[in-house]
Amino acid sequence: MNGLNSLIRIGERERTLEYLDGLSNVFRYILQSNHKTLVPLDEELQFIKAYTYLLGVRYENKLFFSIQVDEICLQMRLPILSLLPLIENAVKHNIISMQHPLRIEIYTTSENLLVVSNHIQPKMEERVCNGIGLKNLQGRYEMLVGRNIQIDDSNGVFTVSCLY
Amino acid sequence: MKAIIIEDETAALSSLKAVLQQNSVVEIEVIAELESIEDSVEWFQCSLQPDLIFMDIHLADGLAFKIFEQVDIVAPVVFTTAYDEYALEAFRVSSIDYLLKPVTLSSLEHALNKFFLFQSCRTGGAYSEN
Repeated sequence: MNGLNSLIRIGERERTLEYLDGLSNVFRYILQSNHKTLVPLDEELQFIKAYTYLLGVRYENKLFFSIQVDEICLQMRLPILSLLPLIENAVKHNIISMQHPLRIEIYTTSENLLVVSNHIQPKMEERVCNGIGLKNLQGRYEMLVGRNIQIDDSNGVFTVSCLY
Repeated sequence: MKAIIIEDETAALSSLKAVLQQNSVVEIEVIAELESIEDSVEWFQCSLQPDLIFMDIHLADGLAFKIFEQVDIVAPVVFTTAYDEYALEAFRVSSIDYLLKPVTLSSLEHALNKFFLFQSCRTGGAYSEN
């Protein structure tokens, strides 16, 4: 809502409309999510694009996203809203500033992995973190897809990947 | 009046700046925009205190209260945050108001009026020397 507020205040009409469009897509997708279990990656990525647009306004020039997904993977099915907690985690736990912009990458690899990764830019005092978001995601993945997700935080990069 | 803004979100910053410009209480010149604890501590170490500070609580590198542990801040602070859970901590430092984001014109003007009220008490109270 801050994003919307600022766009209106600074009088950016077109971007306000785009933002509103993104916001309604995000709401619609989340509200419908309890009727679905597995969705094609394509659908999930459309949602993520809307969500990252909103975040892009909130952290303009500081937060960047790259989505590089092989076209043949677009029909693979994954639990609905599985990418969202990973993006939320990256935004919550890392420094995002002009000096230290954050780049979140979503991509597929030739080893049939779907990956979300970002450089680790720890805050001075980390908020209490119980890892419940990742645990939930792991549980849902195991139950719905029958596979594990891998979490790796070596070499200063945080990576979550899953086999598809 | 010279003010600084400590805020890490671009959208919130431009929104606050727009409201500051609109307010009809006082003309505000924003002399610095800072986005992290580190930036702010550095700024306070080598600058004169402003008249007023607008401060978000969740900054890029942690909670804003860390700034008060590292430098002396005598200027009054108006906190601007999306969370209402830090009011008590905000009360312990030199805050004059706690505005929930997005900041509205009326809440901002209320804070500014409060600032002038406190100031006039300090300089023109019945027991003051002048």
